[in-house]
Amino acid sequence: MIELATVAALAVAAGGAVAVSARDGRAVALGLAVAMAAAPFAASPLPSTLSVAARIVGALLGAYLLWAAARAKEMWIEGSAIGLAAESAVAAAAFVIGLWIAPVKPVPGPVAEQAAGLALVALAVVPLTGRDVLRAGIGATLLALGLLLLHAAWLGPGLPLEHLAEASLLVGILGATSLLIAPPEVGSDAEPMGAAEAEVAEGAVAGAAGAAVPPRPSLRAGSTLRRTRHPRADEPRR
Amino acid sequence: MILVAFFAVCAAGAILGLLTQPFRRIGPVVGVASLAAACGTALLIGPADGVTIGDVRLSGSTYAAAFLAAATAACVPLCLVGLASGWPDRFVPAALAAFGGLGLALTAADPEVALAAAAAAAATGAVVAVQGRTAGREPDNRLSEARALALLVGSLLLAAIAVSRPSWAAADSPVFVLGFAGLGAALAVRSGAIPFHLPAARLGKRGASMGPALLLVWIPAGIGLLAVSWSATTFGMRSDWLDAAATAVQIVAVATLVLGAIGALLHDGLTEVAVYSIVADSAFILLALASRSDGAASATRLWLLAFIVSKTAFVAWAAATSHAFGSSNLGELRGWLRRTPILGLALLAIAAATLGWPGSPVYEARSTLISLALPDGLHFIGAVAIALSLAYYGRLLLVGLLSPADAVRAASGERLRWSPARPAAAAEATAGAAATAVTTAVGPAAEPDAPAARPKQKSSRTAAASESLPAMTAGLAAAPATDAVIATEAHPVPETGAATATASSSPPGPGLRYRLAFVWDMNRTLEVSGATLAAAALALALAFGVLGASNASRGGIPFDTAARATPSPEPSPTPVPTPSPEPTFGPSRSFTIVPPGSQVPSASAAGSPAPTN
Repeated sequence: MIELATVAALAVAAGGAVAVSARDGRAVALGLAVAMAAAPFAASPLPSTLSVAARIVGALLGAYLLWAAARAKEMWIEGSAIGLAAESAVAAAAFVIGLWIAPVKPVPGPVAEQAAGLALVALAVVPLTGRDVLRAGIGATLLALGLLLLHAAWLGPGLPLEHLAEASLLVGILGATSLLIAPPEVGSDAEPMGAAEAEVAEGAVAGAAGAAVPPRPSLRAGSTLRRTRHPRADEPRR
Repeated sequence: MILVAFFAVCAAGAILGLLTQPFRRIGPVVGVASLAAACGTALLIGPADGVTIGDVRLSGSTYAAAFLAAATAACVPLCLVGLASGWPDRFVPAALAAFGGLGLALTAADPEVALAAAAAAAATGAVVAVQGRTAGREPDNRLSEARALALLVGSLLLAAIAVSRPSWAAADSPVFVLGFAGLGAALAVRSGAIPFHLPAARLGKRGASMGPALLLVWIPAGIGLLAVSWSATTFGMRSDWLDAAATAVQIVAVATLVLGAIGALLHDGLTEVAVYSIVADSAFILLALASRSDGAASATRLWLLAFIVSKTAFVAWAAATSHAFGSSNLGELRGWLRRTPILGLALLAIAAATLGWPGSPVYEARSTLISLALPDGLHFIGAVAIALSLAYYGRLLLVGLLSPADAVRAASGERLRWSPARPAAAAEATAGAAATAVTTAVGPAAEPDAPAARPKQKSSRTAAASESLPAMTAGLAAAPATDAVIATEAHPVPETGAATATASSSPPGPGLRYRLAFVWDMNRTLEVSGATLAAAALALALAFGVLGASNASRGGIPFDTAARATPSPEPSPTPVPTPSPEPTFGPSRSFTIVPPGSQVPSASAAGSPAPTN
């Protein structure tokens, strides 16, 4: 019989792979939400109901913060350079290694939890070494979540307040990331922007200067086209 | 219940601060009121206070109360300075969230809870890092902040894993050494130690004048307290790998102590000087971690109390000076001490609180940390650090004594003003009328300050008195737009022309409230200097052991008890390979040796009476 902890560990690893490789903000947020919400179920015995509830609420809140920021800023997410398949292979390899090694004998928690933790840590390495702020924040989240899984696997399930603190930590990381990905204001050329972001900024600069710049086709039609302006948005307020 | 009240105040203040951001009048009031309430609540925390949440005991202590009260108390004048010099929207909510997290970390006895709370508090620091990102071509440190956050969180969680695992702690395993190195890395990254100092330096360049207080002072100090609790007990083991890791921390600390002070000496921007000064003095936290000695605990606690308040006051001083003269470049601030002597007094107090003198508690704390953490041949580093610190403090004071530069000459200074001054030509023509008007409106107390009625020799005061109202309000105009909005919305300040007309045409004032508000706005520099001096005085008191700082430093935090309960780091003898004793995991996650023939206690029966045979 397949145990719940194993299914949850697989879901955690899959969610992490999706979050790292996706180019759409919704997919990134969904992957992170799945990974964070499934993490407490990878423990055995299961944490208390209050602990699980705190972790799930924290997962939803953190994912929403990231999704809202990515949607509001029309961020162009670089995604993984090697693609979903390769990221999944990395996660799978780390997962198998986690199933195989035994740094702690006996392991108080499920071995699958340790495997999921190692998979997330492996997935977090590449985003943290990149130049994209959003991916660095995702990497930080996955690194923290992976270490929390390893912590639970090697030391046993945590106490309720510990789960609350961990949920706060994950929300804090994602909240900070959602603020960090806010694009620089117009006129600042310090940080390279994403394509859609740069297009918006360029249009704003041109509009302020009174010049007419022909709109360029959006590289990512999804979120850009959804955000249509009000027809009288340019009129002065009375 | 006091602990719960403190957490509630911090949480409510952070949430309300975020919600009231769009309201320019309410937002600052809510922020300062929340900070004051948090400070008052922290003062009430005592050793007997405690609350149990899900099997984790949160206990108050004298030192935790002193630390939290000092941090929040120092934050209040800093925010008052910020209110005058450009209120950062998210600073107070971020600070309150960080204080709540640090409060949880300092009162929890469970290592995992404490370190997770400290990491969550550190995550809020990134909020401040994105403040004021409108500086044009100035470098943007969002990416480095995200990486620093990841490294900090990862290091703290790794340390929690390594230390909480008794077998690793006792056997000097690589994971245990990595845990020690992770703690050192977390402290070094967050405090801006020399290999990781670029984000901190950029923080100073970007003009985020209040960010360093949160990012580089309060959070590293809180994490340092947790690290020091383990330093003497869990990491007290002597082994090759652990000694090598401690040596690496020592090298980083010495480099930070010396090069940070040199950086403060060489840079011209006030915020950069403050940042490098903080970086240099934060090296003592690393030294405390590297000392791995019981004797360092009390000295570290006292040093951290002085550190958080004195460096917060230094950040406030830099912001206040920049606000007073409209420039943060030291080259344009020649003669600042002549115009703002209160700020000069505050700088002297800050220097004394940071360095002390032989025999003073803060000096002895610094000396103790140097002597315990460094080998005998490197004890001169302490004297070098003091000399370099005196050099950059002295440089700031020396520049202030020079002939005033244009920006300083044009600024209003700290002289108390009761009425607006007028252009020099108009002043000569209407001197008598204006003096009569001012005397009539304000009373005899204002007469000595009537600038036009008292011609003097050419001096800085005369220059300040003879300047026009537009020049006098140039400092306000040079402040960020937020300040201007706050100033005009918070007080019914008249337009410039209206104010001049009021003074020259000598009608009676529109009312006491109107005039008080006007006087309040005219003496903004004096008010900011007073707030800075209050923070500096608090730093001086704590550095010299007053206000219960010495007594609190002799105590500890609940985390110390948990660290001492961790299995002894002494190398344990090789266990006898008897098959009967089986290691089991009890509720406290420690190995329990069960004698043969006895019943294995279950987690549910941990608190039940011992079974009788």
